Amino acid sequence: MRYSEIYLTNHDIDWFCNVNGIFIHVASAGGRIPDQINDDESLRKIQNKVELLEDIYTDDEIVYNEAAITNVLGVNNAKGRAQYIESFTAMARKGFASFDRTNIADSDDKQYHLVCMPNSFENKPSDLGLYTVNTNDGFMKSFVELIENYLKWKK
Amino acid sequence: MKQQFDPDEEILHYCEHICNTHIQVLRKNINHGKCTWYWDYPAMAAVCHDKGCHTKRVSYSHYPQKDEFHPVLERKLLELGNIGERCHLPGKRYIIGNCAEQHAANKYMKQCGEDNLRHLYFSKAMRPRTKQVFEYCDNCKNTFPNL
Repeated sequence: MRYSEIYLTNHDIDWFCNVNGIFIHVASAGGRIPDQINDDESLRKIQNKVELLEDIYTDDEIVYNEAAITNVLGVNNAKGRAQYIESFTAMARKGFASFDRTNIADSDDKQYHLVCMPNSFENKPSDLGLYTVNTNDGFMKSFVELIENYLKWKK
Repeated sequence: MKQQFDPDEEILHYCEHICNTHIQVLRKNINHGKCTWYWDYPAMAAVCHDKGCHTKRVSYSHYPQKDEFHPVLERKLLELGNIGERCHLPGKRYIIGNCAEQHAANKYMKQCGEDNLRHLYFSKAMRPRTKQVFEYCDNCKNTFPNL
């Protein structure tokens, strides 16, 4: 069953997809969820499977989007940074590029930022039955672009 | 006299409790549909307390149940519009009765016998996942004199 608009507004839901072979985690932060993923029964099965995954990357193998983190938290905020990155780092350790919604006060806003990801995608979690993104899909296209930009920057 | 507490430490502890419970609920697959506490992180959490920080109640953002609110709080919320619907006042039109502050205040009023909104104080509003602090929304500012 689809999540109601009110449930989405009140919750910070973890959702997942597969973009060009890269596994993506997104924190909804009170925002919308793509139609293709908006099904509580199937998403909860995936959330449970993801929670039970073993870590496949160490903390040294996680790279952070410091510019975006600073943009969210401001400068010289070490304690805030540690608290902010915790749940996203846990996803990156499991092999996901992990995103957060940027403008949380506006539940209709669809801007996201990459928080962190593994330094390679050579290791992948086992098949989780994630929705594979069609890169022509308008909403999902922004994630594809963010990942591609990041990979270009990394080179 | 109960020992005083720091509301901002209390909200941090509450958010840590939510995060720990969220992980346990997911791992144990304790899934009772949308009624499952903390299967998904709540968007926001808050502590409501007295002026002297002796008594407190905590809660998180969620959809209000029918007849849930203390009559004094309910009357004040109804000035904004119908509970469970978007506020009819100009500005960002948040849903009335959803906020963590409103639920924490409701628990405080019902369980501690308080019926004066002027006696209610709040911690910072915090996002449990990240412990980020956010501004109170217009609905809460219009409802609680001390915000």
